[in-house]
Amino acid sequence: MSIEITEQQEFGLNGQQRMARFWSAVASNVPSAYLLPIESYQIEKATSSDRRIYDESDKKKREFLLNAAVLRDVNGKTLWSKGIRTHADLLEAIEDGSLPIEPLELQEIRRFVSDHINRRGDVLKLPAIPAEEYLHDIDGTLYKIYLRSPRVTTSMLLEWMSVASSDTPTYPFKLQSRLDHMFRTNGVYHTMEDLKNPHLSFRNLLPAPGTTEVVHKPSRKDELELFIEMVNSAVLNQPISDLGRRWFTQPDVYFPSDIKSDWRKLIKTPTELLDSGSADLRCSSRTLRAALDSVAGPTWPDIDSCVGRVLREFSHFHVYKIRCNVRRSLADPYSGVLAVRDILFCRSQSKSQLRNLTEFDRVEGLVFYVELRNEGARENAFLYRALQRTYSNRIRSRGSKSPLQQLIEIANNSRAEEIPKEIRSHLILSDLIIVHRIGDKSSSIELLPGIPHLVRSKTIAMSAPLIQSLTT
Amino acid sequence: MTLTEEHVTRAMARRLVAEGWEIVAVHPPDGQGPFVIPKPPKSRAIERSSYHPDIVAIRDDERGSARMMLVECKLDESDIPDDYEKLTELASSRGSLLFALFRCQKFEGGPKIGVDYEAVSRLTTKRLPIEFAVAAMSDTTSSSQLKDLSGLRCSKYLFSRSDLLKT
Repeated sequence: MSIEITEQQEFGLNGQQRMARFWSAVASNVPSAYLLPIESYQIEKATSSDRRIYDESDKKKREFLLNAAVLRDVNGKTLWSKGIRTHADLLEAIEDGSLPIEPLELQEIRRFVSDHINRRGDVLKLPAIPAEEYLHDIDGTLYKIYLRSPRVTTSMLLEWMSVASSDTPTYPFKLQSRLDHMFRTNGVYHTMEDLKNPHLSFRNLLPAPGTTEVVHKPSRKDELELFIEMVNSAVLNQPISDLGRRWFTQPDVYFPSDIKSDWRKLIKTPTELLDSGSADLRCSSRTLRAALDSVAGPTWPDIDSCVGRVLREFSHFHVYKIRCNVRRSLADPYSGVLAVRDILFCRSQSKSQLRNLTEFDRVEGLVFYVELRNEGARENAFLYRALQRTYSNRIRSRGSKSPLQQLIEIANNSRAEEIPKEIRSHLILSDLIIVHRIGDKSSSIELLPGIPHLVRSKTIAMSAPLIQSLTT
Repeated sequence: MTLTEEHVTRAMARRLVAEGWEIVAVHPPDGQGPFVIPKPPKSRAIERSSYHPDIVAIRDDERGSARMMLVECKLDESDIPDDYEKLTELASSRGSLLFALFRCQKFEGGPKIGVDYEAVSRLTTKRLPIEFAVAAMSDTTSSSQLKDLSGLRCSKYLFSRSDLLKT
């Protein structure tokens, strides 16, 4: 069994950085569990608008603005100017639908009130921060403490685990925070002194099973009891029940029913693709080819005919694009990010397809598109330089080889863990990698078909050490 | 049996509990720290880093006011100066000290023991209800006082190998 635990709430993509390991577990039919907060309390520097609330001299107005701020997405100042002056008035206007805001926003606020203030429903969410605790001045710096709810990237992660579980149990478990610990440890709670099991004291361990709030009420067990049930089943090699994990992906429980529409953007023109910043994009093969034509110019036919074969393989591609100007390695979180996209966007998601992940039988191609600017364009070693370095270290062959030849030799002579993290998952999971360097005076492009395409085209055999190492 | 810094941390936590402290947080070596204290920014352009004390503890003093203890642990006694230097830096940052106290404040519905943050934030730095300790393994178990840090008490706790093995 594979187990990952993090106490840190996701910010952007960092919650997905461990997903390559879960991908590997699914590929090897190893049950896995991910214990994570999903929602939590955060303390961070407040904004200038928070400062205006804090400095409000009218006590009644300040109290109202604080209560509105806790509800998120509620502009207390505007509501005050429209005559809503007390917390009770605010809650009443939310309840009867008379709050002067857009219907979708009202729906979100109603859900927040139901989930975090009234705490209704089958799933127990964290209680909202009391309004009087929202803002604090610490030695002249204003901090806000707020309830951070899961967003798009967490919805992708949880959906990924749900899909993967159709073949191999791959379960998330929620680490339930505590409001009374919101200041001390952002709500995270640990076993401190365990009188019954002294050897477990002061080890920063999770709370004992059965000691935290029951998150999914129908199960009548807290998340750690359910996690231990999964561990016991795995250890005893018994079938593992679903343990109520469906709640995490059920519409309108943790995420609005239309959350998937925010997962990626449909791209219709090459210009849109080239102009896009970091994002998940979907485009046709024709659009992708036209975009490459426009940036690669006359060098395009010389790059490698294999790239053309990749483009002809699929009618559509999922393009995960990043735009950055960094020198640092592009290892995390992109390894996990690509693993998430592989299963969410590129597979048919049938049980049999998931059983043979390393055959890379995809319905949509996966492209990792890196746009490097300024210092990143000059200094970042991704992709050809890092590949050359790996090739030189691993193969020690004389004579110059093209990047594609280098990759094939590496795959035929190395296990996955022998390839540096800075390029490993990118090569293993992408059908095509594009690196577009845009400097002050010139630009250049690097293109390389990835392992999935090379496996399907039988350029690399399933018996190659790299492919074998993904499951053994 | 090989001893590690974690043995010292656990022995120190037990010692503090025996002295009446409530352990708020333990930060194991290489683990994630649940109790984070921001460092003052070095420049406007640089994201500031943070302190993660190995142990954070709190207790009420004889007058019923809460005091906080921040502890750094090492396996080897010879490494104590590094931790003392780290605590010296922390003690010199009033903002960081106040943030640590803020985290352990008393509030409605909160833990039983807590700091009256509004009151302590008006105190001078050397009167803040906060103290420090360093801990390590040595030949014998003992405790002593080190030079105050910004006027705040700092103690040294040493644990014998045999006492560490009991943890």
